[in-house]
Amino acid sequence: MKKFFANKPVLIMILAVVLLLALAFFSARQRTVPWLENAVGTVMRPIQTAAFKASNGIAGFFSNIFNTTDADLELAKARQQLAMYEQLKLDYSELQKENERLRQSLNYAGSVGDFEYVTAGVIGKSNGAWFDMITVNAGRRQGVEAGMPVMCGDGLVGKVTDVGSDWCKITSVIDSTVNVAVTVERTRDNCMVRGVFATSAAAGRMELYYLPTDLTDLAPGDVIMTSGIGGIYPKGIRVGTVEEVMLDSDASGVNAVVNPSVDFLHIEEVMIIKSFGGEGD
Amino acid sequence: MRKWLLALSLLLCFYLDNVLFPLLSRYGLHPDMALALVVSLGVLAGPFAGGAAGFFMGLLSDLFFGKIVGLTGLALMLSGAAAGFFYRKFYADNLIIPTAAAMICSFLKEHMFLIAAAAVGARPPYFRTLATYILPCLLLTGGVCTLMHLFFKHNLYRPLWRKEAIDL
Repeated sequence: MKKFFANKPVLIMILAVVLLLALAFFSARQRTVPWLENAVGTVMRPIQTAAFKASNGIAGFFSNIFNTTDADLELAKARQQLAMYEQLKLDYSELQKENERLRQSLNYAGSVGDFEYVTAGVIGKSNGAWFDMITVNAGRRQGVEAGMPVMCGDGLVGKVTDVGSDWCKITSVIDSTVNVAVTVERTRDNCMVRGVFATSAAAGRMELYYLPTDLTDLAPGDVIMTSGIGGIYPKGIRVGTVEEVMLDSDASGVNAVVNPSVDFLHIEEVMIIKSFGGEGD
Repeated sequence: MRKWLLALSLLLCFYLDNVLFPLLSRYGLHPDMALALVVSLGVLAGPFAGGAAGFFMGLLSDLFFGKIVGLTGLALMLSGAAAGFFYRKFYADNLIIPTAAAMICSFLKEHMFLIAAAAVGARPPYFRTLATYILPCLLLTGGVCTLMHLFFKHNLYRPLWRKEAIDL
């Protein structure tokens, strides 16, 4: 026993295992940010931002290389032509494009409710298929708190789960641990959507469930909006569109597959809603 | 020079795993560069070097991008330390040992994540996830580890062996 405790590397390893297990246990349960997470996140944020922006360019380059089917080639050709015409018509700079995106987001926010929000840029995404997290460059200093809903110009993004001094992590609505109370816009049916864990073409989709199947005529193309029930997300934010209906569902209770309105692969800016009128229904 | 090379490799793997691959890979499918690196380092430089590299890389990854802080750190540290079991037990030219170790560690790491995901409310379908995600990741990581081990063997192994001490 004495010999065992004299072995420093083994002791250090055991201490590290205990520390990491404790961190994992607390972060999985309470989502409180340890001081370490906050300090490291604050120091490294500028590097993280630069690395993410540079990588977007590299990702775009590879995306062009690997899109080789007929449809992809036609799409690429059409995009090239469109880009050429657009360039002839207007010489937009990168700043102008960003400005336009932000304006669109602001208009969208204005159209769905009386929100107080802070705009943030995406600086990182989670690694692997198990969880779907987005890191953005706004945090406690900008008034962000855990639990705040997040949206962008296209619709609902998710909610804030971790907050640092000037960064925060958002769990997106396509994460398989997230449930959102929604309404079908056309039929006004209330139901729920949740993310789907998938490593195939179904990845990034959502499942719609708890729909009154005997009373609804849900159809592909129906728009799904947040219902505001529960008070976590404001009412009326677009979540997605119904892609496939399965009203005679099995024990899983899944009634439809929903395609999210937000393109989570190419998301660049988000709006963190600090307060909204009525704070839900 | 060797220390710089090692530091650069650590940074590059961290960048690829956490910044570039999540943007390129639609289904989260990509080789685990950090795991391949810590396993190779563990085999070449011993359990302490492998474990320490795994601890810091994993913890940083969790702090910046992870949902459960400490999980990647734990998985990578244990992988590096476990790979260190083969330190000086086989010739450095042996590529089967690091490749097999990386594949086994990748299998175990993904299962750790699967259990953690289930614990926080996800319901991943086991056999489909195994076939479409865990096994492809395992093969990719094994392949990358083979290449990485070849690289490290020529660039890091000899100086480390000569000094007979790991100074990270």
